[in-house]
Amino acid sequence: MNPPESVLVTGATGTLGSLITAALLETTDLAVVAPVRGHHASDAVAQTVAHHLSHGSIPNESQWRPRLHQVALPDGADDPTRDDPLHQLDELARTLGVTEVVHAAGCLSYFDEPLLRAVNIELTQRFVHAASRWGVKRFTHVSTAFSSGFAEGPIAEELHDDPTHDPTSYTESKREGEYIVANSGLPYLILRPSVVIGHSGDGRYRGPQYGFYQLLSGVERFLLTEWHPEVHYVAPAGGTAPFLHQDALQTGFLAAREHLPDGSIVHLTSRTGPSFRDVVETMIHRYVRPDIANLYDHLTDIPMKEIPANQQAFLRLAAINIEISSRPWQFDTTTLDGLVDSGAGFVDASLESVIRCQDAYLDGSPHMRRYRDTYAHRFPMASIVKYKHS
Amino acid sequence: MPKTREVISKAGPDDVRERVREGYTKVAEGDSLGVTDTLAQALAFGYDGESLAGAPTAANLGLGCGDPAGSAGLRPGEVVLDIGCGAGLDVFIASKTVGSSGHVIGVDMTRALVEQAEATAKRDGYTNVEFRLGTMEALPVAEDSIDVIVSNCAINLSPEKGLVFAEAMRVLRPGGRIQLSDLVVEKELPEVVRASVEAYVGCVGGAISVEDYTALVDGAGFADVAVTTSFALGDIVAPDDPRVLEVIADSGGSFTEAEIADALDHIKGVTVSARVPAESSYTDLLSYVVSNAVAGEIMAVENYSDMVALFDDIDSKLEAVNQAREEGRHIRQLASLGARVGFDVKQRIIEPEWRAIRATFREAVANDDLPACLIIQDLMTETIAIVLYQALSGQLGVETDDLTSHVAATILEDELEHLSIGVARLRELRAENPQAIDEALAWAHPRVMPQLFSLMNTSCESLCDELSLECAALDPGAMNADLGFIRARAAMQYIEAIDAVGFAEAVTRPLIAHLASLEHDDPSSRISVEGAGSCC
Repeated sequence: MNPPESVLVTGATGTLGSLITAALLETTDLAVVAPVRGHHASDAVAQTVAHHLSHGSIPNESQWRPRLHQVALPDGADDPTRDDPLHQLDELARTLGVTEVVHAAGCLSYFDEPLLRAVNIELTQRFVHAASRWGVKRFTHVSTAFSSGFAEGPIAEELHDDPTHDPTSYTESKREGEYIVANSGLPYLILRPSVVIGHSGDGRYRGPQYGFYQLLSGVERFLLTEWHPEVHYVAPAGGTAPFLHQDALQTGFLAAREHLPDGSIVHLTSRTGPSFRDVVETMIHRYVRPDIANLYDHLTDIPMKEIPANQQAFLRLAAINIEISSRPWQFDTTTLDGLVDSGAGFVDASLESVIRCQDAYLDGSPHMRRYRDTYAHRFPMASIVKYKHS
Repeated sequence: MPKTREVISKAGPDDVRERVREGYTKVAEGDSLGVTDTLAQALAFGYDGESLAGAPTAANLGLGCGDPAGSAGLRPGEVVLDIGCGAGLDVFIASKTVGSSGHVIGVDMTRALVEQAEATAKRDGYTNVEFRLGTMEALPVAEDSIDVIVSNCAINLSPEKGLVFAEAMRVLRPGGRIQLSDLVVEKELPEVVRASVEAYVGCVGGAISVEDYTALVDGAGFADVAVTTSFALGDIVAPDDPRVLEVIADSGGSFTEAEIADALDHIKGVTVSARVPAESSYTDLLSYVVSNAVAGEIMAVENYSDMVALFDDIDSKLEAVNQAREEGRHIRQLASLGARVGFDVKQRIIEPEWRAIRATFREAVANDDLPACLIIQDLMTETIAIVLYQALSGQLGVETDDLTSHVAATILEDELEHLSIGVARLRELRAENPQAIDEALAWAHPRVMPQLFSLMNTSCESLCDELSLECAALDPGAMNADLGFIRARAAMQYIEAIDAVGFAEAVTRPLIAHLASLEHDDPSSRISVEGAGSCC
């Protein structure tokens, strides 16, 4: 009998980690070992994975549940002031035959620098050390498409130099994490997913409200509280919105895992699809429905003091995400193109598939329902869009 | 041949109701039950003269024994039910208070009185009242539909008083209340009097003791039952009053004047108040939220007290003292609210966020940094307090009970004033030294705002344990509260406050962007993948 073989996935309670865990359980015979923090329920990973797999080819829990091992992440794993406690996992890794690590744990708290360092840098370092001790065949590191910071021109699939400007300390910490992995001496693969959105087929999404969902949640809580005849937003023309459907993340991950050589860095993002302006306009036409939508090239072009307080607050709070999403990102997708050419079933976002994600979120929103009930009589047949160029 | 007397005390409930109905049909037809001056009678029994002056004269039959609608603390928008409304006097009094957004329903089993009340309402243009024919033991009212029940000298007329309170419980909403005026007896009336139809219809034959009354209200499941005596009938009605003589004649008994006076002295007017216990998921949530609010108020008392020494001028010192006193008063109001609505309120700082904010404030005091103190207390803490009390007062889509709403609205006024005082002080200071004020904001924001936003969820460090609550079971839905929306409003309030001071945009821009990461946060998504939520 062959010894058991398994993949250790960090961050398996999160969006990316749970999708990757589900993809591994669905398409391989491997077991997945998922270390998670102590405060999680003992079946936290299984619950999220069950949600993903209920739509897949192995909806029956008995087909995957025995291969999923949620284990406790030792306390202080990301605390640089304490000794590395990941040694406590060594015996477990040996027993369960961990031959591969997918490091999907990460911190997205843009402004919490100590936490960003602790999770995105210290924890990465410690899992790299652990993976070395375990002698894994590969360390797959889930980074971000935005690890370059605000670099000019095309974003290459290689380690980045420091840019002139980072939108937040998050991108800086992810960039540093990539260097730790690349310099570890381990066989590695670095994945750089862009903004993960719901399933391309039905728009379903299960995860925290970051990125696109922070935008939708902002629309819900700020713009859908009161109808105003005019709405102001930032939506420059051109470019492709840096979106990645959750199913495309899964197929992209599986194809990269199977086909890419060690030392590869791959951008996982839609190569074609709607621009950010297309997405904003759709949202305005379908949901907000003012008489006039004023779309600006830059946030600084908006006459803040003259617009309603709710819109002002929304724009100012979302400033960083607006700045990131409205930037004309040019990710090099040569590696992804190659994977698709060799048969990987990667789905690029289209306006229709993004609308499905918007609908899946906003159609069930009580704010949306209240907004429609209260203001439907004010909605015009079609909103007039005015482009304001600086 | 001796007259055959009907003995009402031995009649069945339906017969009793029929005799009462007959008696009050006669009232509708003009029998005054011996009341000669209805206005004087109403005033003698405790009606407020102003309330009476505003109500239709025709509705006052002089049959009340208190002023429940005037003493129920009715508020605009409430739905009120008057049990045994007669010609509608208390309904019309209540209608003025609850206003056009409220509604008052009068129920009476005597058709002629209901028709009379309807005619009065129509004639005088009352649009927020309605009258329904029905008995108080089977109220023609939907369940969970009433905020306040009033009743004036009517429940003593019921032969099945237990059913009346069971019905009251059915139709009242959770947290709803009753405010009744009625008569009780301190000493049992002679059997012949209790047997008299006249005595029964005249509201004394069916009167029971305070103890029995309290037990009935308690037994129906009401909380905070208070039964207080207001007057002795003997103080208002003389032994030779024609009404008394008529009752005695009807009873067939023979009594000395002293015996009659003694009986009248032992018939007492009572005011009865009680409330329907709120649902436990609601009170658990209130307990958690209000205990946290009290902690914030305690911190505010300490902060304002510390600020006294930092002000140079006497007026500002005294104003800070006053602000500390107001925050102290809020603690008392919130503690009293807990006692009245029925939830536990901790009167000390428990959650670590408050300690962290307090520690930052003390650091500012140690640095003699008045702007930072004002920013932490007036700008940051008060803006969050404002949103909290807006929510508890029933704004922002949140649903709370009337008492909580009222207390929160009162405190909210103070907090709004504190914010505006703080903004004015900071504007003055900034006019003198803009850079120092901007630096104080940049210093305080990352230290305080994450703590305040962390408090705006139902995660907890140890408060749940202290309150013996199941943390995971705390449900914002029990108040229809949308925490994401409330955090968004808090962010807006804070932005408006810092705009009002006029800080440099270069300073506020990154702080507001930082606020976004707090505002849309929730404990389960603090870290997207590993999760570092602190929910216990």
